[in-house]
Amino acid sequence: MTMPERDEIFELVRDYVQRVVLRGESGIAHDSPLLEWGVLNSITIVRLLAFVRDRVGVEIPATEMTADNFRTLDSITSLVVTSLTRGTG
Amino acid sequence: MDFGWSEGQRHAFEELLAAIGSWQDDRSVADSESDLRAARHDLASWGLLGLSVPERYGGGGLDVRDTALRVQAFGDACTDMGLVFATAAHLFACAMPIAEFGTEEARERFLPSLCSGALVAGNAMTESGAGSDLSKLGTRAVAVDGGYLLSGEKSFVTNGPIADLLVTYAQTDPTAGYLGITAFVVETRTPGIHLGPPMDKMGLDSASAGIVAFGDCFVPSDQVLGAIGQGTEVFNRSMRWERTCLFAGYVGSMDRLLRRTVEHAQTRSQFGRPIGDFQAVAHRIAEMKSRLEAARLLLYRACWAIDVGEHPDQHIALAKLAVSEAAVANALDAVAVFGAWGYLSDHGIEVAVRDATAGRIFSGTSDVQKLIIARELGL
Repeated sequence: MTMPERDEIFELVRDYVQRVVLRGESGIAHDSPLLEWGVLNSITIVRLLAFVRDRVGVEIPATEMTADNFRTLDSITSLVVTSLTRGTG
Repeated sequence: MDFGWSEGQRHAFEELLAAIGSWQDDRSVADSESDLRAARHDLASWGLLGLSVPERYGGGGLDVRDTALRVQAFGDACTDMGLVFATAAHLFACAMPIAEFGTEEARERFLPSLCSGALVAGNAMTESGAGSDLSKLGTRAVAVDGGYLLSGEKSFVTNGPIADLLVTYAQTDPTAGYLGITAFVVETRTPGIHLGPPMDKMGLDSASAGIVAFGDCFVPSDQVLGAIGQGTEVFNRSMRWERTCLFAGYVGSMDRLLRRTVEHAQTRSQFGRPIGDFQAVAHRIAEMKSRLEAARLLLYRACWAIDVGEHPDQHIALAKLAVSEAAVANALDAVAVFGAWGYLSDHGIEVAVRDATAGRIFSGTSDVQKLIIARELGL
């Protein structure tokens, strides 16, 4: 399987958060504070990780469950890219 | 999956059953109202305070399945479910987070004493404004030289009124939601801690629970559990233990209640024959057995999933939901079979209803378990 580009992963995550978590209610930017705004919580993050596992094929380890990794769409994208690289490297 | 017990498991189960049964028969009325602190040395002698703690810290080093079987024996032999609950909170919500996430210094300092009963531990997570929603914790931990200052108030702290040690959780980064929570182990002799008196509650009488207030209470850095911001993960792991192994105690108590109910249906006669001859009574007892065995299988399945490293969340939620709901339903059915005697306090049947009701609430309510199951189904 070809590894998706960073932009593709960003778009996948952004679309999921916008469509499923926020139910299309409002727009979010690449640097919107998702934890501070309460967009991501213990339930929505687990759902997001399940989505990433199914769509990108990467499991995010528990050790990576830190605020810095989930603050924004940018940081989540970086986490997925790093995990993918580690997994296939 | 192998559903059979090994010879060693069978032997350990029966040995524990006999030891606790004999101990309980010797307890006086006054003893039966005592708490974990009073019983701790007996519990430690059977290994119950450290079942799953690694052996090098004085524990039994058991996996989840073997731990659950021991707690099942405890719940079967001991009619005091408050004591079973208090012991399980001490072990699964306090000792295990230290064992799994503590610094080496904290493990060496606290775990041997928790396993021996020299220290009693309380679980201080819940707050009046934050039950299932951990992101709403009001307790704060501010970094200072050498550690953190804790401020805030915890509620429903199991073993709180009698605790020497607390595992607690506080916000270290209010901008990070549930990933801004950090776990700490705190000694209750630390200046700034106030332990409230036991709360009056419906059941689990000998398990004390109360308020704990922190007022600029200093906790050294080596008493942080896990990484900063990893508190929710620490708590979730402790809930894995509670939702499986603590609830194994309820499976044991349901076994005991079913045996008593069958015996009563065989010996109580009405209209010239044992009431168990009446289909209405027999069917009620058959339903009790069906609920119990379904719950038991789900519980063993969840324990097995954890031990083999399978993604266990759905199995754990199914098990916790099934055991806690079965415990309430079976207790109500037992009262119905016993009739007026079931309603009298000194017959030991109505207490099962009061003790089981708590099981639908603590360690994540039944509604939260359904939410987890639905989430795992993709809803």
